[in-house]
Amino acid sequence: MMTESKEIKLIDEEGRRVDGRKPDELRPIRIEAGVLEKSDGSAYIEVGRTKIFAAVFGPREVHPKHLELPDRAVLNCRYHMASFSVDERKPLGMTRREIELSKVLREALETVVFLEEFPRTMIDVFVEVIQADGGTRTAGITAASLALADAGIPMSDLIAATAVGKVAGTLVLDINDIEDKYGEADMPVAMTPRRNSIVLLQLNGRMTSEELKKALEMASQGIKKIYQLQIEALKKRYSVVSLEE
Amino acid sequence: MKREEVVVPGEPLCIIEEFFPGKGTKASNDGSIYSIYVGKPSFDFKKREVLVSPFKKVENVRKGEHVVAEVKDLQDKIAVVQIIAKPNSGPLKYRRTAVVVSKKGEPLDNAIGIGDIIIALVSNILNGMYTLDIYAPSCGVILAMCSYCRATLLLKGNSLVCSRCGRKESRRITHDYGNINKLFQIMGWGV
Repeated sequence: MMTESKEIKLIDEEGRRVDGRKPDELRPIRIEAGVLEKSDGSAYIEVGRTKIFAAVFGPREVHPKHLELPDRAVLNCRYHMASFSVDERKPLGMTRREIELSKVLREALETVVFLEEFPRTMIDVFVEVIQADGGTRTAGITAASLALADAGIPMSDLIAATAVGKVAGTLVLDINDIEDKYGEADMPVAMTPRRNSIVLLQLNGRMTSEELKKALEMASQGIKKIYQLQIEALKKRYSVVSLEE
Repeated sequence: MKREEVVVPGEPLCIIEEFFPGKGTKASNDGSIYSIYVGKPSFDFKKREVLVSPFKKVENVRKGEHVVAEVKDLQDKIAVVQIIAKPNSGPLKYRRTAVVVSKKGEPLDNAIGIGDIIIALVSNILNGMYTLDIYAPSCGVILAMCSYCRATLLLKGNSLVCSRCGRKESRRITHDYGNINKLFQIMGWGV
C-alpha cells in the first residue's frame, strides 16, 4: 500500500490533489429533490463521480408485524450498491459492508426524524449507489435526509455529510476513491448544520488530537456548503411563482 | 410576479416571544421556533401563532373520518378489517389494519361478514391502532358476500339473498347497499 501511495503521488508540489483540488475543496456537487415519481420522496446526488439515488416510502404498515413499535415508527434503511457501480462487478446481494452502512445510515437519520408521530408504522429509506467513487455513505446520508424531507416526513433538521481524509500527511476534505484507498485516514462526518450537532463520526486510520480537531473544523465548513445546496434543491422543487395581486 | 416563500426542516421562523409554535413547527431549547416540514409558513397575528403547511402531506387517517374497509377476519365481538380508501380522497396508497367492535349485546356476525366491503367511521385512534364504528349514521355494509359460496348478496325487499346459492343472510347495510357506481366513485375509479 505504502509503495503504491508513493507511486500515485496523492499531493503534488503545489499542494494539489490527484484530481487537481485544493486540500479544503469539495468535489463538484449536484443535488436534486423529487426525482422519482413512484416514491413518496426522493433525491439524487452527484459528488464528483459518485452518483446516488435515495427514495422514501411510507409511513406504512409494518410487515412482519412483530417488528412494529407501539410508540414510534420503525426506520428501515437499505444502502445498496448497484452491480455496475464499481470497477469489478459487485454480487447482487447485500454484503456485510452494505448491511453495516444501512445501520449507520439508520442511526444517523433517526436523530432528526420525529418517529413518535407515526406509531406502529415503518418508513422505508432506500439508498442506491449507481456509481461509486468514494464518499458513498456521506453522499447517501445527504440524499436520504433530502428524500425524507421531500416525502413530507417531519424532521428537526436536514443532515449533510462529508468525509475528511489524511493523504501524504495532509488533511483533505471530501476524499475520493483513490485517496480513500491509498490515504492514511478516512473520517466520515454527518452533522445537522443548524444545530451543529454530529450525528455520525467514524474514523478509519490514525490522526493526532490536533488533526482530529482540524479535520472536524474542515468537515463542518464543507457540510455548511453542502447544506446550502440541499436547501437550494428543496426550494427549487417547491417554489411556486404566483401572480401578485 | 412573486415567488412564494418556502421553508425547510430546521429553518428558524421566529422566536418564542413573538409567536406560539403552531402546526408544522416546534420550539427549540434556545427559544427559536423552527419548521419541521418543507412548506409554506404563515403567521397568524390574531392568535400570535406561526404555522407551516407542508407541500407534501403524509397519507393519514384521522379520527371522525369515514373510511371504506374490507373485512378480513370476524369473531363474535370483534372484526379485523383493512382500510382501503377514504370516500373523498380515493384509495389509500398504504392500507391500514383496523378493528370493528360490536355494539353491546349484539353479535358482530349478524352485522358483517368476511369479504364484505364496509363504510365506517373512525371512532378512535390509539398509538396507531384504529377502531371503526359501523353503527354510526350512513355507515354499514355497502357490498356483501355469501359466507358459503362467496357470490354477491343481492338486496331483495328487506333481506339479502345470495345470487348463486339463494342463501339468506343478515347484515347491517347502508342505504347505498349494492350501488356499485357509488363504490367506484368512492374508490376514485370512475364509471
